Amino acid sequence: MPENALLLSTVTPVYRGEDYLARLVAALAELRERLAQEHSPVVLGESIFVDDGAVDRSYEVLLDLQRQHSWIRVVSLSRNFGQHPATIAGILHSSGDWVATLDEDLQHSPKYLIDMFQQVALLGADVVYANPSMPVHGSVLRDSSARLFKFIVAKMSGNPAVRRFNSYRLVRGVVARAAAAVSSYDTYFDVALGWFSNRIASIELPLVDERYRSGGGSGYSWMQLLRHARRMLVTSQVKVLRLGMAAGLASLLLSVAAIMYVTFRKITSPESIDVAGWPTLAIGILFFGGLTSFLVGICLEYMTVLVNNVQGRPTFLTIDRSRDGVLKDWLKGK
Amino acid sequence: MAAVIVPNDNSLRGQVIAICGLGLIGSGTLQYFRRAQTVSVYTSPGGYAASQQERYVDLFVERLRSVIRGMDRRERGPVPLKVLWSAGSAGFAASNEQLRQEMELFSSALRALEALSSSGVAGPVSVFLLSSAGGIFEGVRLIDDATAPCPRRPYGFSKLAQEEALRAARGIATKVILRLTTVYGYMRPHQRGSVIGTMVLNGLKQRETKITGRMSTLRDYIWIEDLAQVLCELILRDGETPLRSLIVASAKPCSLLEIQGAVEKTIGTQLYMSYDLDPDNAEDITVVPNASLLRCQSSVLRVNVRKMYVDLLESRVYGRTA
Repeated sequence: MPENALLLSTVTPVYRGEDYLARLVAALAELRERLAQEHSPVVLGESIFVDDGAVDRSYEVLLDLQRQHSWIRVVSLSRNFGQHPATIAGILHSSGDWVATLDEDLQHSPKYLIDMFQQVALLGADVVYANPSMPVHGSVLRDSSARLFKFIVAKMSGNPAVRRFNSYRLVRGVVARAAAAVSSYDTYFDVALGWFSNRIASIELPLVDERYRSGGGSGYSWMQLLRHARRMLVTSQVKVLRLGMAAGLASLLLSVAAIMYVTFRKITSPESIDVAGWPTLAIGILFFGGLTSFLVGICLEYMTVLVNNVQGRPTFLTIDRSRDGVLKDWLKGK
Repeated sequence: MAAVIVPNDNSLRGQVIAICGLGLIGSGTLQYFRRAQTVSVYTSPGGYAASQQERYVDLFVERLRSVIRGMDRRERGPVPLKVLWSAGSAGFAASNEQLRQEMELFSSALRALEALSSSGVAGPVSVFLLSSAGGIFEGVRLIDDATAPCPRRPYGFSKLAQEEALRAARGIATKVILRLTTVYGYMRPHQRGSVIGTMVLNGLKQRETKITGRMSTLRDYIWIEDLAQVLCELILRDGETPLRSLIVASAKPCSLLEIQGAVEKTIGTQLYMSYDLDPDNAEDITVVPNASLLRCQSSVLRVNVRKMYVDLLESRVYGRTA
C-alpha cells in the first residue's frame, strides 16, 4: 500500500446473505481494481463481513470468499445481536481512514462509494449517507412508514439528521471507531455518530432492495423493525423530556399568579365567589400541581445527564482532517 | 533472571525449556507452564545491566548444565533444549546504549547456546526470539505476509539486528522469530508496565495518564494469558521448520479511546488522560490474518481489565508500584 494512501475499510453485517455475498464481493473487487487503475489515493484495503448468527450458509460462503481474496475478513459473533451491534463489531475491527458500511443484499452498490467520497471532498463531511432517490422496497406501506417514523423522531429529538439515516454510510474512520467504542447494545449507531461530528452530508442514490422486491422478504421482520425503531428513540435525546422542566416551571409560576389573583378576589370582592371553599381548593390544586410538575422536570433533567453518561456521550474527540486535500485533488477532475 | 523448566509429564520428558527474561512475557509464560503442565522449575539470577551481563549468561549456562546433569534420563546423549528469549526491558524510546547492551547480551547468549550444542550437552537447540512487530513495522496498517520491515527508530533496528543474529547463528537447529504486537498484562513492581495496565493503575490512584499517541491511535493488543498459551503450545510442539518468522497478534485493532472506555467502565472511575500535542508514537499499527500470523485469541478487553484491576487490589501491588 502506498505510504500516503487513504485506507478504505468496508463493513457488512451478514444475517441471511448466502445468495448475495459472492456478487457483493465481486462488486467490491471491481471497485478495488478500479481505484488501483485510476491511481486513486483511496485504497480498498479490507472488507470486513460480520457473521451475525447467520441463519443460512452465509458463513461457509464467506470462508470460501476469504480464501479467494486476501483482503476479505470474517468476524463471527457468538449469536445474533442485530444489525447495529454487528456493524459496531465490524467497525471495531477496522483500520481504515474511512469506513463504509453496506448491507449484505446488494441494496448498496459499492460503485457509489466514489460519489460519496465526492461529498467528503466538496463539503468536508465526516459522515455521508446514501439516501434513496426512488422507493426502495416498492411497497408504499413500507417505504412511507419508514419515512414517517424518521420524521417523527427528528421532530421529537430536534435532530434533523435522523431523516438522512441509512445503513449505507461512508464515515471517517476516527469518528466511526469512536462512536462504535462508546456504543452499547441499545445504542442506535447513527445517533452515536452525531455525538462526534455534525459534519453530516447525504447523497441521493438509486438504492433498491432487490430481495424485498423479488419476494424474498426483508431481512427484518416487523418485530425487528419495531425494535430498531425503539432503539433509535431511546438513543436520541427526546426533546420532550427537556421540555419537562420548562413546563413544570411555567406551571408553577402560573399557579403562583393564579394564587395571587384568587387571593386578591377573595379579599377585595368575596361576594363574587359563589362556591364556598373554591378559592382554597383552586389554590391547593394549582400550587401542588405546579410544584409536582416542576420537581418531575428537575428529575427528568438529571436523568438526561445520567443517560448521557451511561450512553458514553463524549466530552470531546480530537480529529485530523489535514489529508482531505488528497481527496479533493483526486476528485477535482471527476 | 532466567528460568529452566523440566517437564515431568511422560510425553514431554527428556527435554529442557529455558525462559530468558522473566518480565511481563517471560513470567507470564512461566506461570502458564506451571499451570498447564507438571514441571520442575529452576531459576538463575542476574540482570540486564552491563556489569551483570556476562555473569547473567554464565549463571544461566551453569544452571542449564546442572539441571541437565540432574535429569532422570533413560538415554544418554544431548538433551533437546528449547529457549524462549524474552529478555530486555527496552521500549520504543530506548536509548542506543540500552539497545547496544541488550544486543550484546543476546549475542553472548547465542554463543553460549552454540557452545552447549557443539559440546554435546544440549541438542537439538531451538531458539524462540521475541521481537517486535511495532518496532519493525512502525506506522504500517494491515501488516501481512508481503509487508517489508520498515523500522524508524533505534528500537526497531535493534530488533532487526537481533533477528539477523539469530538467523546467522550456527548450532541452533530451529530458529523461530516471533514479532509481537503490543502485550498487556498484570502490573508488577520493577517491571515495565503496559499502557493499559498503567491506565488501570493510574485510575486507581487518581493520577494522570500521559499518552504519547492520540485518542484514535490504533494498536493490536494481546493479553498476556492468551500469548502465554500460544507460546507454550508453540514451544512444546515438535516438528518445527528450521527457520520461521511469525507475527503474533490478535488481529483486532483497538483505539485508546476504546481502551479508556473499557477501563473507566470496569473500575468505575473517570481516567485523567492527557495527550501529547505532538505525539511521536501516534501512528496506527494493525495486523491482518495471514499465513505468517500466529493468532492469539482476542479475549474480551473488559474481562482482562477487570482481572488486572482485581489483581492490583488483591496483591496490594499498587501501593508499592511507582
